[in-house]
Amino acid sequence: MKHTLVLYLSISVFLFFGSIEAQNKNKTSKQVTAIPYSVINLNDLSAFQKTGKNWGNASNVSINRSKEKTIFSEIGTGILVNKNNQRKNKHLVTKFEHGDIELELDVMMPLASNSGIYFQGRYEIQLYDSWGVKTPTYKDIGSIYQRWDEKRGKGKQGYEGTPTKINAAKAPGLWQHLKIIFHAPKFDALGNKTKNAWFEKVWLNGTLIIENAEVTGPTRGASFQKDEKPMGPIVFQGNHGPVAFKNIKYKLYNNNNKVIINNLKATVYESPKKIKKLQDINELKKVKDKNVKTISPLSDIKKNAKELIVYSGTLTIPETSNYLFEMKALGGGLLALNNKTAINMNKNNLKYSNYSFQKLEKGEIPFTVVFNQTAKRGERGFELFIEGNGTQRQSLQVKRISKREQSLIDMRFLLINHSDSKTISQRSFLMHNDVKKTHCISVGFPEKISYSYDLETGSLLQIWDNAFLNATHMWHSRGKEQLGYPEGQVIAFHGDSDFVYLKNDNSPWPKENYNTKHLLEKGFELKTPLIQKGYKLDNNKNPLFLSEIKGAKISNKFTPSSTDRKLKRDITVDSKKDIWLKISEASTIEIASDGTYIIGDKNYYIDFSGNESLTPIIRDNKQSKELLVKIPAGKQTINYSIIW
Amino acid sequence: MKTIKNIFAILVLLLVSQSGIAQKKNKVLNKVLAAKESEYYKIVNVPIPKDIELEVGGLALTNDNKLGVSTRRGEVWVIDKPNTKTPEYKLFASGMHEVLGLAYKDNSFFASQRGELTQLIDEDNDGEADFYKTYFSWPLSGNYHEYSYGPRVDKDGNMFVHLNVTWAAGGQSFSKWRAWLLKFSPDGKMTPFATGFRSPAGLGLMPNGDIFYTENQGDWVGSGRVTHIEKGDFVGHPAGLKWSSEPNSPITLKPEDIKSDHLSLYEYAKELDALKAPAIWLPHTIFGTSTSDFIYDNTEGKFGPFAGQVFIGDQGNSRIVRVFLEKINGVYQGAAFGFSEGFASGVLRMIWSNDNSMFVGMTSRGWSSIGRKPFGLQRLVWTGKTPFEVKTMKALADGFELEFTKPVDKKMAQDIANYQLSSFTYKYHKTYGSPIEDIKEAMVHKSTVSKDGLTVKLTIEGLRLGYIHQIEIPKLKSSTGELLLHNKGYYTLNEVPGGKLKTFKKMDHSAHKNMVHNTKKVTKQVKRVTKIPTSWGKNGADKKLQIGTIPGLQYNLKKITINRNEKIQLTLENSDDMLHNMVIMKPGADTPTTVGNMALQLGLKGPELNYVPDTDLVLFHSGVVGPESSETIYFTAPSEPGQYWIVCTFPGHAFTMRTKLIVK
Repeated sequence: MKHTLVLYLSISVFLFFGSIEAQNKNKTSKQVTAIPYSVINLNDLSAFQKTGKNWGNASNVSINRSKEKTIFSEIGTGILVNKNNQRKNKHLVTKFEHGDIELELDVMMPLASNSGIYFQGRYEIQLYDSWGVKTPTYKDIGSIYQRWDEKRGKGKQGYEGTPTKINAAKAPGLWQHLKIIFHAPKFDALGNKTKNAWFEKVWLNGTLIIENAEVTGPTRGASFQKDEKPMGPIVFQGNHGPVAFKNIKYKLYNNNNKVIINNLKATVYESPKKIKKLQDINELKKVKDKNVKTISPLSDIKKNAKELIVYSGTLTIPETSNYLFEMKALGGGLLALNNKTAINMNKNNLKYSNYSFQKLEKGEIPFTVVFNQTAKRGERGFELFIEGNGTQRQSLQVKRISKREQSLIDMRFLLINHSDSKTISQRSFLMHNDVKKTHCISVGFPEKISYSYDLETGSLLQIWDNAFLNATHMWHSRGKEQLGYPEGQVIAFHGDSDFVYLKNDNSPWPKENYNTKHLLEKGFELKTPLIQKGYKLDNNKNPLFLSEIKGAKISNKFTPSSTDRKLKRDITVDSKKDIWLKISEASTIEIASDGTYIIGDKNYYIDFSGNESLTPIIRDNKQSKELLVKIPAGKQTINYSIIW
Repeated sequence: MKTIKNIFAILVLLLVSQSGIAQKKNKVLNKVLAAKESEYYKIVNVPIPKDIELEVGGLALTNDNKLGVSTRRGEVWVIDKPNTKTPEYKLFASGMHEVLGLAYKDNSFFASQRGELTQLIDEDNDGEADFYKTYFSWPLSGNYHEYSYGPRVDKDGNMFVHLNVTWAAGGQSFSKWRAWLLKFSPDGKMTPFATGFRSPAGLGLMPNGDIFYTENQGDWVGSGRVTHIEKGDFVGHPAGLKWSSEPNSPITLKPEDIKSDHLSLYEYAKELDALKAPAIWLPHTIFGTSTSDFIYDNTEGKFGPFAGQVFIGDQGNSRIVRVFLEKINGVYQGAAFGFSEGFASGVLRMIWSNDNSMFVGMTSRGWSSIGRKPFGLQRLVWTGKTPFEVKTMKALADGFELEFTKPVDKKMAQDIANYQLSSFTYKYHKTYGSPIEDIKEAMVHKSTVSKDGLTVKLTIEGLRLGYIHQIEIPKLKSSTGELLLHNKGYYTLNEVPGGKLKTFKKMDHSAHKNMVHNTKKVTKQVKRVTKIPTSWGKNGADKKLQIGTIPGLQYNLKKITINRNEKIQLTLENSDDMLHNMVIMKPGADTPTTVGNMALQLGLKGPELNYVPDTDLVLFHSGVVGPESSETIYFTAPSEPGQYWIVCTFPGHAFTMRTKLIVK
C-alpha cells in the first residue's frame, strides 16, 4: 500500500507541470491575450490609394524557380500581388498614415526579384531574393536601404544603410514572415526634428535581424525625398520586380504614448502561502517600508527571502482606450487597478502569462502590484507588461538582477559552434513537437546548415541554418534536461518513423506513443522495429546513418548545398518487400510547375527530381496530407532535397 | 605536424606551471594525513591542454599503451605518453551523449553513452574514429539521472554495462532495463544479468572472473558498498524489479515483494532468498560520500605491498579507499581502509598504467567534490617506500587476524588495550541513507603476535554476523617506531570460518559491563533548538528567515543579514537530493574549514551528533535534513556585530556550502 502511494506521489510530481499547462490553456482561451492588430483587407485594393494595373488580388500565387522575376496568380482574394507586367509599374500606397508602427506581413519573392516597404513613404526595408547570400548587405531582404545624395560625388552617392545581422532569407517562391517595429522621427512645436526615425526591431522568418537602427533621412528611391514628417503612408515598391504579400496587419502607436508610474511606494511583508484577495494584504505581518523609485521586485526582495512586496501608486494613462496587462510570476502575483483586483495568481510559473484587459480613462489611476516570493531553491521571476490600443507594449518593471542570475534564466552560455572545415555532430535529447526524444543527433555543416536525426526511429526531425546548438541544458551543472536546442529557426518534420512496411496503400502511418503517463505506469520501450547500426563518418566527418528494419538495410546521408539553403538526403534501401518512406506531412502539399513539391503554406520545397523511376504520392489522411514514396523491393537508391 | 607538437609543448609547459599553483590551493580532507600519504603514494598531475574540458567519464588503455579518456561532453581523447610531463592529446571521437564508461577491445574503443553501447572503430587508421557502431541501444525516458556505465570486459570477451536508476522523487526504472546489469556476449547477444542497482558507478572484475560493483548511498541504500554479483542476483534497490516479468529476466521477484524498514539488508536477505547482501560496506562520510570505480591490484607488488587487493574511488571525497576481500563459506567479505586523499577533483575512474602507476580520472560538475577543480587527470605513483599499515584483516570464528606490512612492536601489539572495536549496521529501507544502527562495543580478550611480528591474532568478545566491525589501533607502533598510516578499518562480517561464531566465554562480567552499551539513546544537543522558546512570548520571532539548498553542494543564498539580539526563526528547506544541515558559526575566515574538519573526525558518532562537533565555534545548528524535508531552528542573534557563518558540516560539504551571516 505504502509503495502504491509513493508511486502515486511520484507520478503526481512528474505530471504537475503538465497539468499546469492544461489549466492555463483552458483559462487563456476565453481571455483577451493580445491587443488586436488592424488587418488590411486584401479582397480588393480599397485600402490603398489609386495605383497601376500591375497590382491586384489573388487566391494563390506561384513562381517559376528557374526563371527570373516571374509570378503566376490565381484569380481570387486574400493575396496582394504585384505582377510587374505593365510598361510602367507603379508603387502601392496605403490610405492610412502612420507614425510609430508595428507591422507584420508575409512576403513572397520570385527568383531574383526586388521590392521594398517604405515606412512613411520614406524609409525602406528592402525586399529581395536573397536566398543563399552569405554576407548580407543593404541590398538584401530585411536590410535598411542606403540613402543617396548626388552631391557627394561619383561613387560616393550611396551612404548609410543597415545590413541585416544574419541572412534569414528563404528560397524564392516561399512565404517569408516579416515583423517590423518602426518609430517615426520626432519634431518640436516649431517643426524642427528632435529625433531621427529608427527601426527598433526587424525579424525575418523568426530571426531578429535588425535592432535599434537609426535612419538620418529618407532612403534612396523614397516617394518623399525632400522632407520628413510625423506621419506618412506605407509604400510598397512596385517597379523593381514582381512580389506578393498576405496577412498584412499592423498596430499604430500614437507618438510618444507611454504609461508612467507616479507616487510609487513599497512595503515588504512576510510571505503568506497564498493571497486570496487584495484585502488579505492588510492582515500580513509587515517587515518594513521600502524606499523605491521603480517596480523591481527581484532586487527589492532578496533572493531567498520568503517575502511579499506591495507596490502602490498611480499610473498616468496617456489616452482613454483599452489596455492589456500581462503578468507572470514564479511565486504569486497580484495586480489591482482602481482598487479592484485585475489579476491574482498563486503558484504560477514563468512560462504562463495571466492577463487583464480593460478600458481605462485618460489620467491618473491608482494601482497595486504584489509579488509574493514563495518559490523554492531561489527559483523566481517576475514580469509585468502593459499594452494599449495606440500604446506600445512596455514593461512596468525595471529588472535589476545580476548578470549571473539572468544568464541562468536564459541558459544560453555553452554553445557549440560550427567548424569552418569539418562537419560536427552532437547527440542529446531534443524537444520535437512537444515530445522529448532521447536518441537524437544534431549535425552541423561548415555551410552553417544543420539538421537533427532521430536514431531510434530513423527519421529526419528538423533542419535549420545559422548557428549550431545550445548545449547549456546538457553541460551546465547536472544538465537536468539533457536537451540540445537548435540555434536557429527550425523547419520541423513529422517525427514518426520515416520508413515503414504498410499493409496496403491506404494503411495508416503508425504513430509512436510517447505519452508521459504511459511511460510512468508501464515503463518505456519504443516499439519501433528499427535496429540502429550506428553511423560512418566520411573524410569531412559527415555521417552516413545505418539501420535495419525487419532485415531491410537502410542508409541515410545528408549533404548541404554549398551555395543555397538546401539539404540533400541520399537513401539506400535493400529490402525483400516494398517499403514506404514518409517525406513530409503538412496541412497542404502542392506540386509546382517544375514538379517540385511545396510543403505546408509554401513553407519549404521537396525536390524529388533526381529519381527516374520513382514518384511520390500525396495521400490525404483526413487530418493532413502526406508525401509518401513506395520503395520497391530490391536494392534501391533514392534522393531528394529540402529547399527553404 | 612538428608545429603542432611544438604548440603542445608550450601548452604543456603553461599547464604544468598553472597546475602547480592550483595544486597548492587544492582542498584536502585532512592535510596532515595527505602529506604523510604522499611519502608513500604521490599524486602527479597529467597536464591537460587549456582548451580541453576533460570531464572524465571513462578510462581505457590501448594495446600500445595510449590512454583513452571519454568525457561527459561526449568526446574520446587518446593521450600518447600519458605518464610523462608532455602528454600528447588527440581527439579520437566526439559528439556522443555523456560517455561514462570506456573499454578497449578488438582494436577499438567501446563507449557507454546514455542511450547505447557504441563501438568506435578507426577503419582507416588515422587516429580518429570513423565508424560509431551501435553495439546495442536501450530505451530512455529522458530523465537526466539515466546514466549508463561500463563496459567492463571479461577474459572471454563478454561486456558488462550498468544502467543507473531514473530519479523522480526516488529511484525509478521508467525505461526497460534501467537499474540492471546487462551482459553482452561476443556475438552481440544481450542478457539481463542482475538487478537491484541504484547508482552503480563502479564495476570490477577479479582475475577469477568474479564480478563486483560499487553502490552509492541513497534510497534503499544506507551507505556506499561493494557487492559481489552473480547472475540472477537482486542486490537491494527494488526499481529494476519492474522488468522481472520479461521473458528473459533471470529474476522472478516483484517490486511489491520488497518490504521496507528492516534492521539491515543482511537480516532481510535471510528472509528473502533472492536478495544479496554486500561484501563490504564503506561507511558513509567516513570513507566517502559517492562510491565510484573499483580496480583490482594486478601489479604483483609493483604498486606497493597490496597486490591482490582492491582500490575503490570516491567522487565526493576526492579519495581512494583500499579494500581487502576474502571468501568464507563461499561468501565474499572483507575490510576497508583509508588509502589516498587529496585528488584534484571528484574521483570517478581509475585504471592501471603500464608503469604500474594508477591513472585517476575526475569530474565534479553537478556533484561537487572536495577536490575543487571541475575536472582532472592525475596519477597515483608508489614512491617505493612501504607504509606501516594493516595489510590484511581476516575473519576468524572468534576474532580477527591482522597482518601488517611491517613487523610490529611486539610488546605493544600484545597489549589488548591498543585495539578498540565496535560494530554497527545500516537500515534497509526506502528512506534516503541510514543512521548508524545498533552500535555496540566489542572487547579484545587476547592478542597473539606471530614470531616474525607481522601477524596479530585477536580473540574478541562481541562479534556479530551481518555487522560492520570498526577496528581502531591509534597507538600501535612498528618495531621501528612508526605509527599506522591509517589506523581504522571496517570489516563487514557476513560469515566466519566454520559457519558459527565462537562466543568467547566471559571471564568476569563486571569488568566489561560498561564496555558494552547501546548508544542508540538520543544525544541531547543544546545548541539545536527546534521549538519556539517559551520565553519569546506571544510575539514570537522578530525575523523569520529561510534558506534552501541547490545542487552542487550549495545553499541558495550567499548572504543573510540580521540585527544583533534579534530573535530569529531560521528554516532550512532541503530540496536537493542529498543530506544537509546548517551550523551557525563564529566569525573567522578559517572557521568553516576548522569546524568542517572537526565534523569529519567524528567518525561513527557523526550521524548521531548531526555531524556537529562540540566546539565553541558552533553557536547554533539544525539536525541533518533529508531530501525534500525541512527543519526550523530558533536562536537569538549574537550581540556582537560581525560576519558569522552558516555552514553545512555534513562531511565534505563545508568547503562549498556556506553562507555569510551578517550581524548588524
